[in-house]
Amino acid sequence: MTAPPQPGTADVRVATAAMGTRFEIVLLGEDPRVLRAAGEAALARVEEAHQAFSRFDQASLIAHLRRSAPRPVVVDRQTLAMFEALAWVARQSEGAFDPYYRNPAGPAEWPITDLDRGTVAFPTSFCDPDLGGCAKGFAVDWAVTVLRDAGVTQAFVQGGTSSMFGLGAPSGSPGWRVALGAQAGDPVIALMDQGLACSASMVIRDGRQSAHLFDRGIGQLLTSDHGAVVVGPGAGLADAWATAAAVTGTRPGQLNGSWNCWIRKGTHPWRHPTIPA
Amino acid sequence: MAASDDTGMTSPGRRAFLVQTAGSLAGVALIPDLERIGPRRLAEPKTVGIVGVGRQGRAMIAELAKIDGARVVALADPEAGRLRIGLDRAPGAEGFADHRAMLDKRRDLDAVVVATPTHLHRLIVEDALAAGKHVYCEAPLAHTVEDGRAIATAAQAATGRVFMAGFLARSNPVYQLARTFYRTDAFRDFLGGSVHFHRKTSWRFPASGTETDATANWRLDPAVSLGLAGEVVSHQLDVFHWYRNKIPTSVSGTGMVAANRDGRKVPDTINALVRFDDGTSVACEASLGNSFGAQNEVLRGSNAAFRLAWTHGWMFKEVDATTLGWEVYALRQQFHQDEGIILIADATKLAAQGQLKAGVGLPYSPLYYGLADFLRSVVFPNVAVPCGAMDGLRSTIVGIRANQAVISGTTIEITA
Repeated sequence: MTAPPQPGTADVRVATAAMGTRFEIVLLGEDPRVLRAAGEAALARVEEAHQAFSRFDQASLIAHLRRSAPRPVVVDRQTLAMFEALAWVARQSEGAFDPYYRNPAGPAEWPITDLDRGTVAFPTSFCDPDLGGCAKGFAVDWAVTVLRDAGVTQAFVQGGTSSMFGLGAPSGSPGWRVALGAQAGDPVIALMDQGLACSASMVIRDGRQSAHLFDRGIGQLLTSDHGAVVVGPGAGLADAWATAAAVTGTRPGQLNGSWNCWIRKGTHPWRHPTIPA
Repeated sequence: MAASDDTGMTSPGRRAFLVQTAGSLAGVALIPDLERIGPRRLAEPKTVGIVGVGRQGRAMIAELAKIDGARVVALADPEAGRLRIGLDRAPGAEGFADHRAMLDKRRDLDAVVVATPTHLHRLIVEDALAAGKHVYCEAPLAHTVEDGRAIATAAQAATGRVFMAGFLARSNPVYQLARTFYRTDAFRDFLGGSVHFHRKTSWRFPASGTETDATANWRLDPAVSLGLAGEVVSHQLDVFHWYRNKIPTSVSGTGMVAANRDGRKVPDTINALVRFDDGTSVACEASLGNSFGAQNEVLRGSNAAFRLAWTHGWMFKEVDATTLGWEVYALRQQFHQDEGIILIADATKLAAQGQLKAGVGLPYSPLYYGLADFLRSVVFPNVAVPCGAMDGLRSTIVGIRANQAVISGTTIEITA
């Protein structure tokens, strides 16, 4: 008699280019055909998110919202929830994270969401949210939803190596292991049914370190070198909170016990601040 | 200078306008009419029910939400999980497990959009038309000639009801603009063409909820699937039928499972050659094993060639072709040794606004324009849909025959 297949006997890797980066999914399970089908369906959801939230694609939902302003546009529940969540983090972080911020002297350009009607309205056609940082995290979360719906229990989804989610865990492991750096002593985090996002105030472009995040408090790009990693129930919110933490260089006080945060300042090692009392 | 044609588009001589760009662009693009590419608003609100809320049905929900005046109020799908996901995308819509229950209860529906697997279209279309609804049916219309003819017959018998087949190139502003050039000396004689579809995918979908793997993966079931030739290439060949106002007389083909060796029988890599009565032909190749080149059609004329890629289009002129007045201003793009004119709709208006480059590509998806055209005809039934029942049937039959040729490795005669 043949032994039944053991969980985790097959592994499949699928990838796509979206949101200016590479999204990748590793799936573990029994039937590689089923895993690949689920992985491709999840990537299709990522591509959908890419098409919806691109600032540069005139066929995107963002472009349509701009063209339709100030009229409300019916959107799906996940998109509606994303706009709500972004506004919530922006308020809670007192603007440290603010995808709508452009000009300190300009008018507020926040979208208006209507949960009952399922609509989003941009106040003017100049509303130009920069979802580049956080949309990856939400796309990862939505991909995970597709995987769960398809019955996948062990998978790792990442976008641009800065937004990720560990679904279940590899057999015999406490989670999907993610190292926060290549140096000895850098923290290694095991993700099980958790999202992780990292953000940094400075990035390397063309071999040079350049400012990447805007500090609303001082009205200019950050010059201090902060890095932040946030781990929690979802990669989308983790993305937003990681940006806030990288701007302030501190663990956001609003993060409750479901969340973990690591902070790096300059060349100092990663710290893991505890929840403020 | 060409006059307005039967698509309602004005001549390329007056409207198409080509502007030299600064920087690295060195080609010329076809850019369509602002009024054609811009947002669509219905003169009066219309309610829509969608049958089948898989990936295509969900895409339709998203596009319909962008059409001012269109409201998706009902969804029908027998699979509860898929229906739930669909309802998440269509706030306020009512869900049904069966299209007949939807038709019975939602008598307020103006239109029904059929987005189920191809082999399930017939019954739904017939029921919806019998219930007095306008119907948009995904293409190909059916998996058999018999079902396709039944759908076309029902559509023609439904007096006062709009029926549209979802061959979307006919609603696509880039393709409409290219067609105006096709019909002038800018293109001149059709010499032949090619169709390319390349995407790296298994073409396999996860079963949802109680759905079986076989149901979810009907595309891989030889009994009901039209394969790449029927499900994909038929849409691309429809461009040739539409431009040429004729369908091929025969098709030969070959196919194999080259990339996804998972036990499937439906080929994932195919080649086909369709021939017209004038001796010209179109070579088709499609594969699920490699994504290079993606999806495009090439038409070769004695004065120019077109490369059409759904959201973008280019015209490549022969050196000895007559220079057109607007050419010196054209947006151009280099493809190795060839220089293409980017096809831009309503280029004159865009250029006047200094926004010609913004017209490259489409602001909405091809599906958006197809659904908008359908609903425009629902509002104004005297406005013909771009692809009616008979045009849809003819292209469906070509797809069915092309698939038969690929499966059998023989040449099949086509009679519509």
